[in-house]
Amino acid sequence: MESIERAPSVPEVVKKIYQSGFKLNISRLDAAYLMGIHTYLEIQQNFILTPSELERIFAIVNDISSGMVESLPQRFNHAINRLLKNQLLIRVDGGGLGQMPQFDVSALGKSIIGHLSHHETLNRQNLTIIAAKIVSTLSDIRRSLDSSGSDHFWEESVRLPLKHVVAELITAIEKRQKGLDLEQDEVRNKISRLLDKDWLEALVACEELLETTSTTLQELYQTLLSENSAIKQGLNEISDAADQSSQPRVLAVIDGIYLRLDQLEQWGKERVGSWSQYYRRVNDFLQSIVRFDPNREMSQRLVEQIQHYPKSPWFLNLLEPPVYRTLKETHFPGNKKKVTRVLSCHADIEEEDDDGNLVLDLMIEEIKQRLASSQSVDLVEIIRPFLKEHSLSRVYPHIGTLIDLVLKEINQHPSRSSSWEKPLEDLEFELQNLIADLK
Amino acid sequence: MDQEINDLHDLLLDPIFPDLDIKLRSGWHCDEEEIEAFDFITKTQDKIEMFYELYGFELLYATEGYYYLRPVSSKIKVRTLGMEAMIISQFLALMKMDPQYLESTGFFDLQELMDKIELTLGKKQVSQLFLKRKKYKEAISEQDALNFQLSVKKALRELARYGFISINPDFTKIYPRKPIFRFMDPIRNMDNPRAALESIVRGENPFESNDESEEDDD
Repeated sequence: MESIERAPSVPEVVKKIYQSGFKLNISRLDAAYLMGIHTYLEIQQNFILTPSELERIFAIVNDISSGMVESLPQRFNHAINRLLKNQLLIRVDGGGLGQMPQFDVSALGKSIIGHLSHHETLNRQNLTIIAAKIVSTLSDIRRSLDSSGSDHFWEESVRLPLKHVVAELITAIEKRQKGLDLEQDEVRNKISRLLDKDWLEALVACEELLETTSTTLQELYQTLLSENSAIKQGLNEISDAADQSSQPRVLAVIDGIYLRLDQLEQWGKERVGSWSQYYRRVNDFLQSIVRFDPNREMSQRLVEQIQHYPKSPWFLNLLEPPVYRTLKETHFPGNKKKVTRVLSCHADIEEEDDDGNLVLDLMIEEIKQRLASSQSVDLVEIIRPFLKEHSLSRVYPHIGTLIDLVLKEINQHPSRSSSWEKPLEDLEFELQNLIADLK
Repeated sequence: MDQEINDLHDLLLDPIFPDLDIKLRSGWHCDEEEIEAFDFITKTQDKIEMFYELYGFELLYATEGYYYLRPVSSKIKVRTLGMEAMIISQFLALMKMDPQYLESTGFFDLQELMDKIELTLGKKQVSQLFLKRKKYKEAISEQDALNFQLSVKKALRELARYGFISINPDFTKIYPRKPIFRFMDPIRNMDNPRAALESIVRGENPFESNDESEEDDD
């Protein structure tokens, strides 16, 4: 049975690390050196460093930290030893037996770099450098396409460089984006603090800060657009070749890169848009509030005005919205299908009509004849000929009278049809029939 | 505005004018954020002024950058803005002048505004002004808080109708626009705010100096 490994407890972990003797002591100079090494590796797309490369990077650190040039070799040696001792740099030459020393940044070093990189911002210089590296990698891939053919070639010489080199370089740009976002937040915060503290004195500083940031952002956006266009051009050619050679895995990687490039462009567009809104707002503030109220007395006066308002209120007169009287559109109802029916009041009038009474008399006569000859009485059958000759309004009012008469005379329950019948097809009139079979 | 406006006839026939006219006559204030309308007024200002003069209105351009109509004759009906709207607008003007709101989007939400009102005026005055209570009671019920909120919302809607502010339906984004500075007229460049107040109540132009010494300087 497989044994389940128990997770170590907090005291166990603490004890283990404490007893290992590990300690980390990193100076400002060492942190800067580490970042220098990281940037060099990123630009060169190299993962191994030789002592001469490390020394060249350290020369920059020495220069910036105002170190003495004469003692450069010694200072360099000490710096390398400190990085090795702190496990920020590791030797990757198998211990150095008979070989020239080779170094790489350790996992711990990369973690610190990750933390420090978060604050690294995107600017035109580093964007141009990284984009140039991407374009150059794409050019190498494009050149190699002449010898393309095998799946192995597409995997080793196209997909992997695209996935690991190009995608990593785009990641480097994206990381710097976050840095730029943070920097913009800091600028906003700084402008607010400056205004809060110095008010009128801050006017010039704020205007300068606004202008500088706007110019930087605009330049960066333009660079981003032009570099993106160059990168996409290179990618297009590789994509066409991969498509022709039916390389879906390569196409998938290229699609991913396209997406990230589009996102980069979108990010740039949004940042420029949001900054321009902020720029307008601050400019308005500076022009209409700071210049208008140089001694910042208005806010205080306004607070006083508000506090005294209940005691001495004042009101603003505004125009009363005019009432526009408009004619209402008349909507006539559409042509409705005419349904013939008799209103009760009209029915009364019809009963008095001679013609109406004549129809009733004729129908009664018909029924009586049928009853006398013991024929069956079918209401629909009786009224149908009358409906053909007379209007419905002449016949309909008498139907009730006819039913009463039939019921009275037959002395039996007539049968009623459950369905509605139309005595005449072309007439919108239906009734439940009543039939009395007298045979 | 496609065609050039050379006279009143052109002005009246321009498709932008009818809507603008209705809004201006309803007491609306037009700032730069109303791009089309603002641009139209700026380009045709002299014609519009001429047109409204016939009706007894004066088209004013405030120094902060907005237009509105002011009645100069008694044939035009006017109405007075409610007390709640008056108080709230002064608070909004105050908040717009605070640089702390620059850092964010420049919007306030309802709660922020209500907190500011309560903090500055105190519960007693809030109770008198917004809940219309003559007698103050310490404890504020849920219903009181709701009534206060409703009263503020009603006033905000009224201010939005006149173009003093922009609001979203749930009042999470209240944005005071430039015309909100109209509520600072009594304290604008005045050594005597009381006199300024009286002049506003009389309906005089706040941007026109009556100081004779200034005229002499000119």
